[in-house]
Amino acid sequence: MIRAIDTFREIFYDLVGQYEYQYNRDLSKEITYDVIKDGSIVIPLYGRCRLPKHLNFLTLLPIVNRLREIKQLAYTHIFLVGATHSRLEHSLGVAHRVKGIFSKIKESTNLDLDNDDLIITQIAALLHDLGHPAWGHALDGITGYIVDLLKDVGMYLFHPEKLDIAVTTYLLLHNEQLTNGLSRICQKEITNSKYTRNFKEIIAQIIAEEEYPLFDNLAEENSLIERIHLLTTIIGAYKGRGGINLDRLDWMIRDYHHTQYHEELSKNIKEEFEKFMRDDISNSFNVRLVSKEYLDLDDSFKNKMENLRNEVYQRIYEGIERSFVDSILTRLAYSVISCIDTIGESLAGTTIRLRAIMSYLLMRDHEMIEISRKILHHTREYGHLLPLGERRDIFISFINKTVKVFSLFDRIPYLIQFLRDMDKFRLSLYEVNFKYVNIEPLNSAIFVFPPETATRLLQKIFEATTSNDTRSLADIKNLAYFCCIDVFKTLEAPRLEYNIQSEIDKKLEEMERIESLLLPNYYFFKRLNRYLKDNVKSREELFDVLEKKLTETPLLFIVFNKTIESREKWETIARIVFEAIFTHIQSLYHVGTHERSNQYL
Amino acid sequence: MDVIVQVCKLVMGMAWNFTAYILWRYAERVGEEKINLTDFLNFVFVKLGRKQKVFFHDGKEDLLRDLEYLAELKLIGLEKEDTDTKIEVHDQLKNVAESLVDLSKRVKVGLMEEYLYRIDRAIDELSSRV
Repeated sequence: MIRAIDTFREIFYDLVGQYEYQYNRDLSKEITYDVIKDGSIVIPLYGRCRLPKHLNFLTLLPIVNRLREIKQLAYTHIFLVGATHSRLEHSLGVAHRVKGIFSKIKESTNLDLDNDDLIITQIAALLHDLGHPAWGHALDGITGYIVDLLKDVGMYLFHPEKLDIAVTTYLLLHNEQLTNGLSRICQKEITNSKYTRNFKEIIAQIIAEEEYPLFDNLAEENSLIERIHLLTTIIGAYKGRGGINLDRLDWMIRDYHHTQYHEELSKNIKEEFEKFMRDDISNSFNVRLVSKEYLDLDDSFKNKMENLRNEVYQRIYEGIERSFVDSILTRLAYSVISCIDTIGESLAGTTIRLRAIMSYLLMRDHEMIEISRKILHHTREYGHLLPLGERRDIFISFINKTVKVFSLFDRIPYLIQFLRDMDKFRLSLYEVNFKYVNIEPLNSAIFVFPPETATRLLQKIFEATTSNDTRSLADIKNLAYFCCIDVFKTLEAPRLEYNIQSEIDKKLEEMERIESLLLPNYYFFKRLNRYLKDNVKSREELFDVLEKKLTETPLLFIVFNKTIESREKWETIARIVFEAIFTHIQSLYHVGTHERSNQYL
Repeated sequence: MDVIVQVCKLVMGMAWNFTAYILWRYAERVGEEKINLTDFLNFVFVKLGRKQKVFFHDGKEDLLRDLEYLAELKLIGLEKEDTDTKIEVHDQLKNVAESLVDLSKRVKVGLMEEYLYRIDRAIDELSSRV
């Protein structure tokens, strides 16, 4: 055990040191603001662009520069090969658009936006994605777990889709490298005393896209908060109010440009999209001022954008390939953070442990893979010696299997070729369908729990309860919400995997054990959460919407370490998985008037 | 349907479960049949938001959409008056609020517990009459 802890200690303190040395160190003496000049860069889609001194300076700070090596669409390039653009490219794109949109706003609204407003908006645009960890949105499904670990350092908590903003806000307020850099810009460039007094808070407020003040000092000045509303609705939007949303105007066309997704669209939509791109780049749309303090796009352009977004969103962002790749990444990250947190308990107090986790999250894409490999291999080797109490067996089994995810990770491009051509079968006992594919060259197989089967499962659980419509809607909403925050904990993935494995071991009685690796898919719950909104007012309406819309995004994948040839065996596996998930979700609702029923199983 | 309304609908209604819970707890604490929207907004964005650092809504409009949805589900009543809107909380809202608490007891997701803890702390810091 001593050796196990000692070796882990080395990795752990390397992590802590890396954050401090690379990202939290004050560099104001090394990177001197006064010697920096305006720059010029070429941004794809916009061509050669001037990079004002303050933005040029910020991109030189390692904490910002790390975005250069974080891909905007994570590992989407595995199936859409052009999607290798970075978050820095997108952030620079948004920042570049600010000046042009300022001119347009002045022409259309006569607002007196000044140079201080311009600088603040450009900086907020450049930093708006700063808190994104590596691997793009692949970590969204565990952001709740991460933020919960980080809450002790004074983190703001937002709703699940804005949890990365919690990290950005934290960095803006507490990261020394960044706060010192921002102070330098403020001293040299900003003249308005209202802005100089609250510089970093104003930027944090804009990025958070929160209408009400996050900070007491901003709440004291009504005119200041009104100005912040204006600047916020240039870069982003408030739900229910809208905004120009340069962030979206940039990623819509940038992701499309890099993925070359138009090759997948029908001729008409392709032409429509290309016209939209031209209009977007040249700011050929109208902007309007609403209630004197919010900006918005004209309705027709906004509607066009929304329709086109729907055309491409599902495939690029939530389709089966992306779901599969991101489910692998989510499992890797969840396992590594669990190790840092669990084993770190015996090495350091909360503050230091949080720094190790922050360091892991802020790594670049390739570094994150390497350190994940190191931590998980180490835990596999020595994990059985660690003082983990009752949870040890399940934890170790889960980590051991995650280590095997690396062999999958290295073969993702090969594996996803099989996802579009799967066999489908019906489990007649429960009248539901499943999909599977054997990958003979790798002697493995993938099992898919399709969205329509998940919908059927939820339907059956809630039909069997005695609760009323609104309670059922609330129950499903909460399930989706919990999963959006932490899909692994809500589904108790390690235990679920352990139980499924035990049942498979019992029922299949193979000479050689079939090992199953569970990959829950966060995007399924994100979409479920999205459909549980105002136009759904009863359980029936909800299931109707889900049946029509919830396609393409499976509930989960299971990867097996062997090919499984017989249909009978697949049916046995499907039954075990279906019953395990049914039982787990049903057990979550065995409370009060909400009676559990075994009518279905 | 109005285009702008259509667009707004696509991005809203994310936190109506929390809105229901906050409103139920708030109504219990205040102990009045009808609640002033202005007071409730102040609670959500100042007492809970700024003081406890928890924001479930982007702003007033976002919260209003949740309230309108809860009204459509007949869990609350909304009476628009000249200067303010009154919210009448119906008993069934408790059932929806309890769904959140029940699930958080069964699933140990730390962040959900933290959300509920901070809401309860903000409620505890309120005087019984706002």
